[in-house]
Amino acid sequence: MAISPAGDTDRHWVRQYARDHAIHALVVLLLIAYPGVHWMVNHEAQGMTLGKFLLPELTTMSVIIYFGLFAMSFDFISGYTGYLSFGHSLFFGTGAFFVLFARNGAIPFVAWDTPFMQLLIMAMVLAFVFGVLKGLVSFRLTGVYFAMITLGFAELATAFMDSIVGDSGIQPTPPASAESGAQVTYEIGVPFVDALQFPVGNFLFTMGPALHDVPGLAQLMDLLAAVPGLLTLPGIDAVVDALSGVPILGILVSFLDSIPGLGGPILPTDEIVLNTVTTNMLLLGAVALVVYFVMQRVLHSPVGRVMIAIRENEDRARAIGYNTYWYKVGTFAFSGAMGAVGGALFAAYNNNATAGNALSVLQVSGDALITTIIGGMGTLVGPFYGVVFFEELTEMFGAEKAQLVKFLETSFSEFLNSPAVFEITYKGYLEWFVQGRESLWLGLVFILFVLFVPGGLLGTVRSAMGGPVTKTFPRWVRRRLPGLSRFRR
Amino acid sequence: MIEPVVGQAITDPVAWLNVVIAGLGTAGVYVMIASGLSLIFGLMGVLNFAHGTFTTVGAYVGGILVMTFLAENASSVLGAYVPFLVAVVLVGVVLALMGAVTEVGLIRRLYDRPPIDQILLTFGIALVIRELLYIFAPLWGADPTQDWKAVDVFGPPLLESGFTVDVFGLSIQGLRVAEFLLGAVVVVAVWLFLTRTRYGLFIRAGSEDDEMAEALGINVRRVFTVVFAIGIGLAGMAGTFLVWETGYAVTPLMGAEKALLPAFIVVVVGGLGTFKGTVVASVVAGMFFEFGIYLNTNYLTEFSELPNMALFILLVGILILRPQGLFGQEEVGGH
Repeated sequence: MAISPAGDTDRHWVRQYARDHAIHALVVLLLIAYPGVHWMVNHEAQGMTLGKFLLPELTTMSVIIYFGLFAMSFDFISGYTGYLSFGHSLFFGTGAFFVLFARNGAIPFVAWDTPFMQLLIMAMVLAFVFGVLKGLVSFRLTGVYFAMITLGFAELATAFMDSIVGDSGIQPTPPASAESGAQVTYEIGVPFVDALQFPVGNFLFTMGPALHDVPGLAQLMDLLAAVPGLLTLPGIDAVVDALSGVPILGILVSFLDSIPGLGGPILPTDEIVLNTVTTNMLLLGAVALVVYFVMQRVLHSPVGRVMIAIRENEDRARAIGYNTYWYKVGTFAFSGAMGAVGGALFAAYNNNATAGNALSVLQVSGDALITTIIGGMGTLVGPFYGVVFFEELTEMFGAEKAQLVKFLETSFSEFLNSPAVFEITYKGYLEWFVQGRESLWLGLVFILFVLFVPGGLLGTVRSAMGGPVTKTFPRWVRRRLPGLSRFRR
Repeated sequence: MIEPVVGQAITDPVAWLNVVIAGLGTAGVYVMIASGLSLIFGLMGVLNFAHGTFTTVGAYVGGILVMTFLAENASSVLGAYVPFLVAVVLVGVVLALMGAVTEVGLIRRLYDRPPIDQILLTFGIALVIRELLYIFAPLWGADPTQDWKAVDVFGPPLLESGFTVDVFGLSIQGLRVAEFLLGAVVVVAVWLFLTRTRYGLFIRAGSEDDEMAEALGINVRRVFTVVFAIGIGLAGMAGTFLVWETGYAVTPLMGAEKALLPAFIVVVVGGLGTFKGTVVASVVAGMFFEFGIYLNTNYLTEFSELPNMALFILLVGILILRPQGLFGQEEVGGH
């Protein structure tokens, strides 16, 4: 990085920052636009069209976000220090079960209706403490032994939790002391600001709150309603009706609405509701984004350099004078706290968790491991793309959605139902070898990646572009669009 | 894990005797699965995550062979035990071939990569084999989502659940005796193989220092293949046995959920790469597991997972107190 002349430092810093985060902004914009794109492509689709087949469903996007967050926290410790944290599911489970037990009123000194964001922070602290305790013991070992002891801790917790919550898992219900009619809810927003909380959860089948119900806005609107002609425009009802069903536009309209004098007084805000599926995805995404930037910040700090030094040559890092033991324990606990956020979001989204799907090493850590390898180990954001691949494959091949068979059936129905070999139709073979066999194909892809693509998806992209995409992308844009360079200095 | 006697106080010596007898039987199963894992790690430094899944394959292949060879409820020695032993040996051969193919085709590519890559590869192999079992098990009438019960009625009477044997006036379940005996046979056979045969000498030399062994003219690559084949073969033979063991439900998930983790614990507790350690740790882990069952049936009935917790407590405790394992050498930990 060139040192800029005096007087120019401030502008240069901002520009540098904007350049480094250009690709982040692009990805985030794509994610924000995704619900709208998905709606535009698919809202009139009948049956399984190509658009439905190729684009992940919006509910799947929520899963991608919380599990991608966990996979990134797994990569944070495993990919950057080289210590395979095979029992990382312990932290996912810590986040999930802390939130669910708290909602059940089973955690001492924590009210059952404590706002979710506060629970999230508490879960992170708890996971950090667990991480320190586990790290203090585990980092006396290296290599295979380290992987085994973290696995041991996580499986111990799984066996313990399995005995407590059983096969059906824990599903919080308000305790007897709660007032009647109280319901378990999870809200994401700015911690400790009651007005800025939005409910999330896959179990919310009704539409979200009308904008009218958002505190503060209602009074403002009543005030403005007194001004004649401000709140109604001819034909606006039809426009609002059309818009509020559109996932992303609904939110955009609501947002514009909330700015007094812009859209607010004109549009009838009580008719615009937040689309639950979209808000779920965007709110979970907002939390994941914050956590990603925190992790990215740490990796780009001197601590991150020490982590890489430990991975490359721990003896040398120690010889230079770093106390590698404490660096390892600290970053391990930190990644545990970040993983607990993934678990807490999972719990809020599903309102349920079993020892199997929240703590088990084979299921939770195993999936994180697979997605990390496919996405690229030691790339931080790579595992997120690995999870996208994983979930998209599950949608296509999985028994639940079986998109592949449905999609092929719309176009090649006759061929599919014709007999292939042994008097079994092609469809029969598809249902036998593909439908519900996503683990098989995922395992094959995983093996191929381990053998032939050690860098994973993102690692390969990086080596093809000659560096991290955050650095190479702006360079590439400037080469392709020379007009932009006028804005340089 | 079949005869949890309810109502025996912890001060009653008979309760302890039962735990020890059951523990020796469980130790027999553990040592059969874990000795292959231990050999493979000791020589090749590969922690084989697919080991449990090969055990499951052994259970299915063994079940199929037994159903082919044995008459239902056969009681004569010739009709029951000889075909059973033939089936066990055949499973060993078939699985050893599978192991050799896996080693030559896949694992061999990774010897000069970091050990984590080998963990990842075998993890992937386990996933794929498990799913293949889901696909092909129905061909033999086994519903992969449920315990494969059809094969239980076949097989020697010794393995049936109600059968007991008198040993020094104690009536012990036949399955326990068979487990212990087969475990002992495996231990003795591997021990003799390692110490008395030329190939065993190669293996010990390779474990000590594979570069030096290669320099002395030993074809270490072939030794690797042979050891991997033997290890997988042993895992498969143990799997055949698990068909009758009521603690293990035969499904494609059995290996990963029930067989692999105890075997890992045994190998790590004993010390990675020492066969003696594996044998001793099998006995210790067997006792821990059965003591967990005893506590679960008599005292802490809520904790259904107590036996497994006992195993993991053993693992964590040993790794804290003696990280290199009971008989492991200090520097092995740096693998």
